[in-house]
Order: sequence, then structure tokens, then C-alpha cells
Amino acid sequence: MRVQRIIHQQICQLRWHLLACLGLIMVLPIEEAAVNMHAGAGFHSIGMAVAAIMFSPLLAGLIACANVQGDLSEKRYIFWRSKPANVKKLMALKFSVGLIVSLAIIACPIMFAVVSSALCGRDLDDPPVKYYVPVPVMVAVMTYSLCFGCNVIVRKTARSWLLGILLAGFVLVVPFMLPLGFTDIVSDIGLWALGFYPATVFAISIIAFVFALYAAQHDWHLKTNLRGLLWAGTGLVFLLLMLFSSQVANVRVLNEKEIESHWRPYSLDKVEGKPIFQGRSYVNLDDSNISLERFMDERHPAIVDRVSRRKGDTYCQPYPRAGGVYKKAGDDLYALVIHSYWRHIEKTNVYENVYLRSYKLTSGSWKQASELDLSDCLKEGPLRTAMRLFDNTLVVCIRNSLVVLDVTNPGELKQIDKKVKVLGGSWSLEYEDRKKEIAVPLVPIDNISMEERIRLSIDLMYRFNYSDNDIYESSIVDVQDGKFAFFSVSGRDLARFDVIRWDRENIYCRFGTSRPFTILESLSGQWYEEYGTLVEDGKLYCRRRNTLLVFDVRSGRRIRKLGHFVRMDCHIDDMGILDDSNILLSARWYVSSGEGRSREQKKFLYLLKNPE
Amino acid sequence: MAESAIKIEGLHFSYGKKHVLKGVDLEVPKGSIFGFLGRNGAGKTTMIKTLLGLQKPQAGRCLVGGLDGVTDTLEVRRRIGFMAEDQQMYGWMTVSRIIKWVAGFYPTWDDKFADELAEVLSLPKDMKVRELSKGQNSSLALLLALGHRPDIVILDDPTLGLDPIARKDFLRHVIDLLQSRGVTVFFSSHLLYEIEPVADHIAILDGGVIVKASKTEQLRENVRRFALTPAPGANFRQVPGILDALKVGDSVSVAIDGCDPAKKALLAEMSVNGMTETALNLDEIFEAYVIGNRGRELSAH
Repeated sequence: MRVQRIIHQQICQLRWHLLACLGLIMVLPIEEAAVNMHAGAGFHSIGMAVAAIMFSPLLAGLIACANVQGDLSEKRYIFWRSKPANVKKLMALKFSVGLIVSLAIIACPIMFAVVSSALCGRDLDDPPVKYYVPVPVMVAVMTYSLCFGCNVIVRKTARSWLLGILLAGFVLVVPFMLPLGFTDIVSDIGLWALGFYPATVFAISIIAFVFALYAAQHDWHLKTNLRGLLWAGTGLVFLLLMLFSSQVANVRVLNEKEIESHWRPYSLDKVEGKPIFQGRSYVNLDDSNISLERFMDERHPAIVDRVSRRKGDTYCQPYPRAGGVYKKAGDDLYALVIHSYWRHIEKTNVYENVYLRSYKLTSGSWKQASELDLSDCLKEGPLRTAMRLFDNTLVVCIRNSLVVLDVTNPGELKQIDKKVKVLGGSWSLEYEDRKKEIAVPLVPIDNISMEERIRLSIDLMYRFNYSDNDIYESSIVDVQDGKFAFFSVSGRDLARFDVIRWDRENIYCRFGTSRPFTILESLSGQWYEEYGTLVEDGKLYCRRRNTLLVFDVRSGRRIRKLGHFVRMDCHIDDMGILDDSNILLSARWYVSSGEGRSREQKKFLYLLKNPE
Repeated sequence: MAESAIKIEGLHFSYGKKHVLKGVDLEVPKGSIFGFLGRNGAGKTTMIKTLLGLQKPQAGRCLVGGLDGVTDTLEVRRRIGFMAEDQQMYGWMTVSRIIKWVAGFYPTWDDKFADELAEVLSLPKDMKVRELSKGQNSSLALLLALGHRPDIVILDDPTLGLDPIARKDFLRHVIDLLQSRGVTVFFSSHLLYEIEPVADHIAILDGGVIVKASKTEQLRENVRRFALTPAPGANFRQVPGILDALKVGDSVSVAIDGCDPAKKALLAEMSVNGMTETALNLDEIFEAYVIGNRGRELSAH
């Protein structure tokens, strides 16, 4: 058998398919490059080149089917089989030629991205190509082999392609059905990519290839009918959808309760581990049953309502915007709130006074117990406020100043320390920050532990913004076995930065790892930190609108998604992690009222099982 | 019988529960043009596929040129030329490209001879295979089967789908090319008039077994038809070698294999007023063997 002739014939046989696949895979990168050029950014493509790679398994399957389809129709099969052709050798040659040209085609967008980016002086690592390219290429190899095998057996191009793709999809998600402990399609497959996955892909490819050789040698083939295949395909698709939905709705709801309330906001806070809803009721959770125990008289407004009213030309801005920082002293419940007063003068907001106030719950209403004037912290520029309670120590941040108070008795606020103009601006983490060491200034407070200082310093550096912040109730810093790490949520991914050392002035951090969001996770929009991110006990919780994601972010490990809670037409207002690790969600549903376009709002509290 | 080019012994093959070949025994003499007859679906193609080693028999063996078709598959295929019924080739290839491609499989491929064949068969070398007429397609398949100068050529219903003129043309080429070179030709067909003028040996496959294998002339000699008026109580089943007995008006037409004086005498006893003897053509012989009632229908008279 003359190998060169077979290879030549095979390439000739595939040439139109190859051109079509090349066109398909290159259309997106070229389109992006053209748009970039039109925008004056140079003829280059990165994002769409990476996106095109995602389709490579489909195209590899197509090439696999085209590769042998011409040889397997019954009459043609007899034609070449009657020649002294070594079937296994011939099929192996065909397989190899098809695989090599498939890989060559898949490489085209990458090469295009590399060359065009280099010519235009663009950084190829933005977006991080290394995350997106290897897995689709491996999957493409497996899909190619499976489609090749299916085609030998089924001998109908479209059916074989469909079956091959479905089988590849099945192989990819089936580990999530098996008791292997896989829960995260990104991280676990990513984990596979370092170990199991190439082995699995390699094994499946080899099995499909060897099976194809034997099937061709022994003329094994199925007489398929379209109806049967459609049923089988429907079953597989259903199974795949179930598996995928298990990826996006795998947090167990222990209980839910509709709340009748006309008050806003729908905040959740905690005092000594007990959740407080709307600053008006304790949330009791007995055997997962949710009930509200109102401690405020219905007639009295909550703290926020009372103080945010306009008084003449003066407006009041509270912090926290919803509720307060709650503290118990004996049997008394106190709420600590910062009130900033401003007036609108010549199109700008001028802040005139800022007070820290404590309120005591007395006879079902909040009575002011103490007040501390912190107006001297107000300087030029927009206002930003934050605070955090450490047992009996309260740290208040106003603009660039820090005030430390003893709140052992919240009814009498005692200032311990004040540092003016010691805080820097609020920073956001850019992709460039992943390539260098970051220095975070250590807050100059000696009244709290070093662990709390580091935690507060990082939170103030990245979350102390000029709009709302959740510093009073949550942190983005995780501490495990004395190792600190903090997290950044961006539209692209979730990144971990490890604290590598600290001195008297700075904390030094370096990028550790990241975990990209999947399409399914980004269905309701991109992820940003300000939507509510918190880290607690090695888990990161991030929520936006109708979705809550829970990740295992313990140090030294790959970031893995543990749970995904999503409800359509739902808006998550607030969340809290309970002492028993379960999750309490405060959410609104919008239900069509049946009259015109009006939608009725229903309020719910959800108790979720914290995924492990 | 002379030395065998093909020898089949006790060949059994079944597709699941359907038994297609039930112990086929056959010898094809070297240098003969061997007509292999059978109805559609009789198992001719199955037997040829087994000969080529395309499928494994459940029992029995096939020797092609002294080689076992199952164990020495590749060598068997190198030695034979095969042309299938309604052969489908790679439509996108040109004639010259497919010739080159097939040549790659044969160490003994003779390019010069292939060129000569292309000229004799009037094959347009630059034309794509899918653009060829059916006749040209068959000619190309023949070229591809002969280009390596095989000793044995197997033709499985090669003229299927050709019009009568193209069929005659094709057969003329086959005979011209092969008969003079002493090549053994195993020619399977259900069209008897096609085989009759060219085959020097005939085998008839029916019901999964070879019901008759003989030289063509000998077959014509041995199978005879007698027309007679049956005597009361005549039982034609008692006549050895009876193939068929048909009632035509008051008389009966009886086909006998291995006609000899004793059989003639037995028939004469069953006749009221003598009988007439006629020779059968291959078509009639085949019919007698394949659908003949062996005298059963007239036994009750």
C-alpha cells in the first residue's frame, strides 16, 4: 500500500470540508479584527479567536465524519475493501490525516491571534488565552475520535456527527453524575485538565479509534432509523440538560417563607449570630422553619426611615444605608449608625456634619442613646463612610480618617483614637495587578488584632468606595491557618490574591489563581464586586440580581464552585450566613398580576443549605 | 477435473437466523469462464464476499489460487481482480486519479497495460468518475479489476443496470481481454442469455446449495425435455433426475437431468402413445433446476 497516495487522496477528499471549516472558524476572528481596524485599534483579534476555539469540537467532529463518509457507503465499501488494502492501516491513516488537519484548522485562529496581536503590539494574555484554549482543543480531539467511530458504525454523516457530539458532551458531564465529588464544571474539569482529563480524553479517543478500526475491518454497522435516533438523541439531550441544570440550580432550598411587609429596605443583619430582618424583626429558624419575631412596633419607623427624611434644605445620608450595626449590651439592643448631612449648593453636594449615633430599642421603637460629632473628619471631596465592629471596639471611617471607639456600652460612645488623613483612595484590581506584587497600606490602629487589621486594611483598600459598601458586615478576606487571601470578582473571573508578607506599613500580596465564569453563570449579566461579595470560613459568596454562587476558596487549592442558586424573575436583596452555616436570603419576586403590564411584588425569605 | 482456480468446501454462511449458504461445494477449473447462476437473493454475492474474505464463513473454507480466503485475505485480493455489481467508486476523483489510487494497493500493477485498457475501453482519463455514463463506469471498474494482471477475475453481476447494447459491448470487451490470456473468470449473473455464449462451465446456486455444476455443453447434453401423453396412474416422481413436469393440455412436458436410455424407457412406459425429445437452452435448464416441481404436481394423477 502506497501511503503517500492514500494521504494525498485523503486530503483531496477532505479539501472542501476543510475550507468550509476554516471559513467557519476564522469568520469570528476576522470579523473582530475588521471591527478593531475600523475602530483604529489595528487589525487584530484575541477575544473572538478564543471564542472560535470553543467551536473547535464541533468542527473536528465534522471533519471526522467527512473523513470516512466517502468510504463507507455499502457499495463503495465493497469497492475498496475488495482491493488488497490493509483496513486497519488504511483507517489509521485516514484517522491520522483527519486529526492532523483538524488540529491545523483549530490552530488557525490561535495563530491569527498570536500574529495579529504581535503586529499590533497587543497583549495576548488579555483575555487569558491559556484558560480557554487547552480544554476545547482536548475536547476537539475526543469529539473527532468519537465522531469517527460513530461514522464507521452509523455511516450517515449528520447522524454520526450528532451522535459523536452528544457522546462527547455526555462524556464531559457524566463525571458530575457519578459519585466522584465533582460539582464545578469549570474547576473540576480544570482540575481534570491537570490530571484526569487528558487521560480520559486520551483513553476515550483511543477506544473510539480502535473500535472504529475493528468496526471497519469486520464491517460492523448499525442500520439506524431516524426516528430511533431522534428518540435516543432526545434522551441524551434531556440528560445533558438535566446535568447542566444541576450545575446552575444545585443549592438545596430548606425552606421559604412569604413575608407580608410594606416596609423597606429588605435588609438582613445579625446580632450575636441571630439574624435581623429589616431592622424590625428577629428571624427565628427552628428546624428550618422560618418565623419572624417582631421587636419593633409597627407604628414606629425604622432607623433609616426616621433619619433620612429631608429637613429643609438639608439631607441626611445614613450608613449603613439599610439598617444599622447592631450590638447587644445585656438585654438591650443597640443600633449604631453614621448620619452625614449635606446640602445641595451650586450643583454640588456640600457635607456639613457627620455624626455617629447609637440607638437603643425601647418600647418597640429606636431612641437615640448617644451621639458623637465627627464633622472634623469632613474635608474636601465626596463623602465615603464605613465602619466595622470588633467585639467592643468600633472602627469608623469617614473620608480618609479613622476613628476608634469603645462601645462596651453603646449607650455611651467613647472615642479612643482618631487618625485623620491616613487612608488612601479606593482601588479596584486590574488585570495588570496580577502580574506584580501589590502593596496594601496597613491601617494604623493598635486597638484590634493583626488579623483584623489586615482584613480591614484590604477591605478598605478595595471596597471603601464612594457609593455603598458592605464593610460593616462582610469582608473579602479569607484567613485559613494563618494564611491570608483576598478575592476580586470581575466580569471575567473570580481571582484570588495571596498575602505573602507584611511589615509595619504595608501588606504585600500577589495573584494566586482565578476561576473564569461560565456562560451559564453569566447568563443574567456580568459579575462585579459591588453586587455583594463576602468571604467566610473558606467560602466565597457572590450574588447578583437573581443568582447566588458559592465557591470553595480555601488557600492552596483551586477555586471550585460549590453551589449555584438561581431563580428567574427574582431579585436578591440581601443575604446572611448563619451560625449553622446555612444561608438566609432576602429576595423579591415579581409576579404578573394579570392586569396589563403591572407586576406584583412578593417578598420571600429563603433558607438555603450551604453547599459543601 | 483440471486443476482448480477456486475451491469451495462445505461453505456455510448466515445473517443471524437466516441461512444463506448451507454447505456449498464448488470447484472452478483454472482458465475456465465459469458462469455462476442463481436467482436474485440466492446468495451469489454473499458467496463472492466470502471468497474475497470480506466476511467470515461460519463453516467451510474457500481456496482461491490455493490460498485460504479467510487467512490469506490480502494475498488473495492481490491475485484476483474483482468487479462488483453496480460498482460505486469515488465520484470526485478523475479517471486517472482513481487509477493511480487503486494502483497504490497492487505491487504488480501494470501502468502500461492499464493505459492500453483505458484506450481499448475508450475511457476519458480527465473526466470525473461521477460524470461517467453507466457503461463507462463499468469499463472503469473492469480496468481497475484487471490492471494488476490477475490470474483470476471475479465478476459479480457486472452488467447490472446497463442497457442491452452497453451490456453486449461490455461482454465483448471482457471476452476479448480475458479469454485469450488464459485468465480464470468467475462470472456471477442471473441473466442467463448473458452467460450462455461465454461460459464454458456453469454452476447453479439455489436454496443455499449448488444444485448443478457442470460444463456448459455437458449440461445441454444431459438435460432434455420430453413431451408425452401420460398413462393412467403415471407417477413421474419415480423417474430419477426429474426436474420438472408440466401439464400442457392433455400432454405433459417432462424435464430430465442425466438423460440416459433407462430413464427414457421408464418415461416411455408412462406414455400412452410415445414421446418427443427436445434439447433445452440454458434459460430453460436454469428454470427447470430452480423452479422445477420435480414431478410433484403430477404425482396425484
